[in-house]
Amino acid sequence: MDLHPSEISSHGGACCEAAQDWLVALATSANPDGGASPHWIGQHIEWGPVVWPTFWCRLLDSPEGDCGVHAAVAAYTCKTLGATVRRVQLMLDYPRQEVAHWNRTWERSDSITRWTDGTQCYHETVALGEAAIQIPDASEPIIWTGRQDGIVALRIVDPDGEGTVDWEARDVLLNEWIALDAD
Amino acid sequence: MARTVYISGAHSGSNPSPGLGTALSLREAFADIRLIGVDYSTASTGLHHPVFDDAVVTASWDQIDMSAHLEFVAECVEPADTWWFSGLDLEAAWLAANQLGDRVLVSPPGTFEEVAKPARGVAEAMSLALPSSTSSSDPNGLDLSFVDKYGWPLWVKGRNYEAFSVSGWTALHAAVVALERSWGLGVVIQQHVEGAEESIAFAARGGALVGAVAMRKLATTAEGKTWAGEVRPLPIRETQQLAAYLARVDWHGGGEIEIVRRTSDSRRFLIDVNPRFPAWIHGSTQANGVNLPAALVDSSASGRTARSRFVRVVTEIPMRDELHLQIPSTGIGGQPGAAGKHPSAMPQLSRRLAAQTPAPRPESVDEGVAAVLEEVAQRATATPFEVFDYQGLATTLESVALRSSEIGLIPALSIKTNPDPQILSIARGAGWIAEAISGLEVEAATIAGWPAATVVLNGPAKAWPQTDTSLPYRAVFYDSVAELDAARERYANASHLGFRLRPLRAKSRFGVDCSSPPELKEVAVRMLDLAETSSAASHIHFASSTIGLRAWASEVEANLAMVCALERLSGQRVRLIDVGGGFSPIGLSEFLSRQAGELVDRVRACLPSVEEIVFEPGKAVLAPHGYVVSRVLFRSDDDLYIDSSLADLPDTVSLRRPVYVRRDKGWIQLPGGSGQVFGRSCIEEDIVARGLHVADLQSDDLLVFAYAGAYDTSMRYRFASAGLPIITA
Repeated sequence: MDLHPSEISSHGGACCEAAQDWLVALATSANPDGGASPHWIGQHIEWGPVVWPTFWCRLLDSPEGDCGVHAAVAAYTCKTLGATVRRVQLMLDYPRQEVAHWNRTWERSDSITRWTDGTQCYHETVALGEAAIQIPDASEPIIWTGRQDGIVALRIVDPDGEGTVDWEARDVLLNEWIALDAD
Repeated sequence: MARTVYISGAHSGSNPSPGLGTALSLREAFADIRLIGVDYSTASTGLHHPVFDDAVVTASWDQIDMSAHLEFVAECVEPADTWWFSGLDLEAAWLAANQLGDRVLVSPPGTFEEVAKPARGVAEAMSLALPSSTSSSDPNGLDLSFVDKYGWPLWVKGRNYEAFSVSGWTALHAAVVALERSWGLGVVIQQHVEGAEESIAFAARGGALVGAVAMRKLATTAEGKTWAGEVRPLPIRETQQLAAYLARVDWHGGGEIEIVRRTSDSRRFLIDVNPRFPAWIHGSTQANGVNLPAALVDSSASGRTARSRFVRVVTEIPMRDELHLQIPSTGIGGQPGAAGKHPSAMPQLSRRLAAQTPAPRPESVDEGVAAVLEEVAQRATATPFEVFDYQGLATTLESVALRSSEIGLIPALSIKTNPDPQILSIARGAGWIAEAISGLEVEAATIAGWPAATVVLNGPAKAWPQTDTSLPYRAVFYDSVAELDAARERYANASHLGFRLRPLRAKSRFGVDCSSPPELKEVAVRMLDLAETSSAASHIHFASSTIGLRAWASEVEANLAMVCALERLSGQRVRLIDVGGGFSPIGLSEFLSRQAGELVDRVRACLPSVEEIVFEPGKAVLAPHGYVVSRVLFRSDDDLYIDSSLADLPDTVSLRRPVYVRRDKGWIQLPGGSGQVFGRSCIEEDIVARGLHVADLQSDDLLVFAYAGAYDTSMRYRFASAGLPIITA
């Protein structure tokens, strides 16, 4: 699978820069201890279908977005707050009925629907940290730890990096899809 | 005879003891083991579980004869292959002190002091950081600087049991009083660390580690108790560290180390150490296959080490009528029954142990403070009496003005803090500008000699009949778009017009909520409109005493980003920023020496068009210069009655107020404790101070309440007031 992490486009002017400032304000306030947790994002940007390409300023018109929007917002704001951020792509296993529900919701919008396949779903978030990373979810207040979370595979994207990072006592190769076996 | 294990602490409720989980794990390993549940009231619900072959309920700890109970435990473990698992911290400590042999699975007595909060030895051994903490009985420890530094929430914790998260002085003092009265063993105030909760459960025999697991909490109850968790093997390095520590202290039995992994930097902090298994211990046995209770009685018992998860469920079981246990009924009005909250009667044991502990010994204050207090007391010709040190205030105001000028800040005195005309006059003379939130305050500013160009108008509704809207005020801040729309006249000649922005994280009804995009955009439109007559300005105000200085600073930083967004959307450049609410009497000098410069730099970097930065440290400069002198009327146990009242000292919320008492050999500050100081009025809430050790006070003792120079004065009311005479220095 060669999907790139989602990117929010910019009009290159004040409209999109204002939206970015607004997001940084929310992120700063949500991290009073100097951290860069993205767990505030789901409270301000409602999870749901979005039409791609999307622009930063659309978040001020309609603060909604899918996991790609959440992950892109997390990457921008966490970096602005000083964290080392990498994009993370995941394949998750979910109950069939839950996936069917999401499919129907996405089909009703004009959004792309090819993020699900049977019981498997494509998801995005971010990884925080240099050599040892944590993978907080950008849409929900959870931290991904491994196969028992329903992760089938993941890729930690770092266009400028190579080698491995330490994730939950596992060495994970950057920029490669890694299948997770049951522990 | 079958292997027999007595297991104490069997309650299974929303805050369960580990006994039931321990028993289930033992049963899983040894089908023929005889398990006997032990507890100290019939309210212990877990005793009814069929995993127990039998149950023993003894008298409550306040009625128990200690020597008889000791003999009972000794008899229980006398037969070979019989064990006692204590699931109750204080019972374990008491058993340890009485040394009944290896089959009572408790560590040596010294271990219990080692693991008491803050458990420095464990933190050091396990390479864990310790949250900063202080003791409620330390008069210099629980002060404003502790709250300033760490902010709210803080944790108020009993030495052995129970903890409350508190977000203000009133809640803090109430928690201290509740814990001290319930447990009687002193209280620890601890910094809150934001992060994921983890635990290490372990078992050791005679100092030899027999097993350990790591657990990360996946779900908790409202009380913070584990409801679901992920268990995995303890990493090798931590296992080695743990083994070395347990060998050093000769640990014997189960144990738990509670940890928080800080979100911001993944640093791990030691929160608590328990001298017993955790209540979730059977989750580890079930999910991870490592049966630590079984390993304690038979080291050959082993299990898997894969990582896996567990979840707690609630179910009903039949009561065991053959045990003849009567569960205490719920009391009248829904109050818990006698043993409802602590069915193992640990508060009773704690108070019995605390009775043997010496009371805190207050220490004399230093000579400088003592001299000031003596002078204050000398001026008080009667009690109650207020003393305000105007000379000291003048010095403070001049010094703040000078420093502010050096770093590019403009100090504004909020008149509401203390509208005493002499204070206003001193402030004006020292070069401060004024901030007013009512027409009467504008009048007071005018009388004090402040021209309109040195007055900032704030407050949620400024349609004041006394105010001349045509004057060229320095700045006027609208609290909402609705206020602007409803204004009978615009302050068209004000140099700067703008909005107060609501803090994003803290709850407040004031200011515009720019976390909402529609409101953000509406404010931008109105800024453009206001720019027809005046320069743009922005204001944030939130009391740091309610969220802590660190969170306050974060809110200011967030506000700057929000103003950037507003500048971009409106096309207007903000020229004046007004910052309020982040200053405490103790923290102000540090703010001016360090953080103020950083604030100015940040504003200039984010908003290069800003020409003026106003700040409002009124409470911080005024409070330390006021005192109320009072006298003890009488004391009833932990309740002290004085001749002043809430009407004289109404600001009980925003400040930790030091209280001093005069003794023959000088002045001492009252240490923390479980006492409350009541005023002499008939108001139900007339509690002037909480959480103080008052047991040494008696009628006619002279008290001085410090930090009474700010809102205590302006909020003072006539009902039940003593009508305090005031000394002017």
